[in-house]
Amino acid sequence: MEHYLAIVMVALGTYLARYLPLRFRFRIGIEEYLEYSSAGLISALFVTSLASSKPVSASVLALIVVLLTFLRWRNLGLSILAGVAAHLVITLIQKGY
Amino acid sequence: MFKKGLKGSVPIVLGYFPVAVTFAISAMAMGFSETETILASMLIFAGASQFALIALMPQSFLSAVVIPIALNLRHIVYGCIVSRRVNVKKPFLTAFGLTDEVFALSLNADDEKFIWGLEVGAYLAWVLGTLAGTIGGSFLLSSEAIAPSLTFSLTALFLILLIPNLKGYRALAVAVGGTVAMIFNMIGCASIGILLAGILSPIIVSRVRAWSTTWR
Repeated sequence: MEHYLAIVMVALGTYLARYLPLRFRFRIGIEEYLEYSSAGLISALFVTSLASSKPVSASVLALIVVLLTFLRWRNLGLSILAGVAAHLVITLIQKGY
Repeated sequence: MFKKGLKGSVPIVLGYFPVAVTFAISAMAMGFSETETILASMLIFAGASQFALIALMPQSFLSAVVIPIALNLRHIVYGCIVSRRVNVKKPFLTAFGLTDEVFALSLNADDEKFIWGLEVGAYLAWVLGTLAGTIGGSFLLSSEAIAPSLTFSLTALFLILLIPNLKGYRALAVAVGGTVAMIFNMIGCASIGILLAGILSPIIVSRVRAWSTTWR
């Protein structure tokens, strides 16, 4: 029962953190502030996801593939697929397959 | 626009599925039943918080509830930004699936239905991944080479989303946000680092901009 209660409470807290700013359209600053904030947040999400990716060396090399294919094709989905494929190949090579 | 959002959710789907499978296996190993595990993904829909919840539950009920909620306070910043960029008519619906990755992709949106498309794709991947994890998780994760590569799609996604921000003072915000996240990641508080990156980046960039204007 304790598990269910914890799940419901965390779900409620998470939903409110997402819902309240959308419902009441909080104003935390000017447009410029939000623009810099979103740039900083995406950068933070990128760094955090890169740091937690395994292996990091394969991720760094695969990111080069992502960057080059995106600059070439300007297609988000294709670049990500190319990156995932490159990551898999690099990982397999590193493991000696 | 909904279909466009659904198509746009593919990178998120690829990244969420293996993480959800991992969550399911970990939750069951920590003593959560199959029903509780699936219910957590259906109701909470927030990766880091769900992992914190199952990890902290054996220690204390209070920390298992408070810490996951604290981890999600950064979503307040997301909501503020989305509500300024997109005309949100049904916040009770849009709010439910506003995860880190959905937020990042929604910055390219100008329609609420596009965000719903992203959210439905992401949510289905998360819940179905959890379901798969509870049914045959050990079999799906037996290929240790494939799972990390699928998760890499999230890192690739964030990199591409960073590119338009590498201009002018926004590039400085990227540098500040990345540095803050890196520091907090190193001390094991990644979620707090993300929250602080969203708060500190605009403060520091605004100050630098004001100083450079004064010295001109």
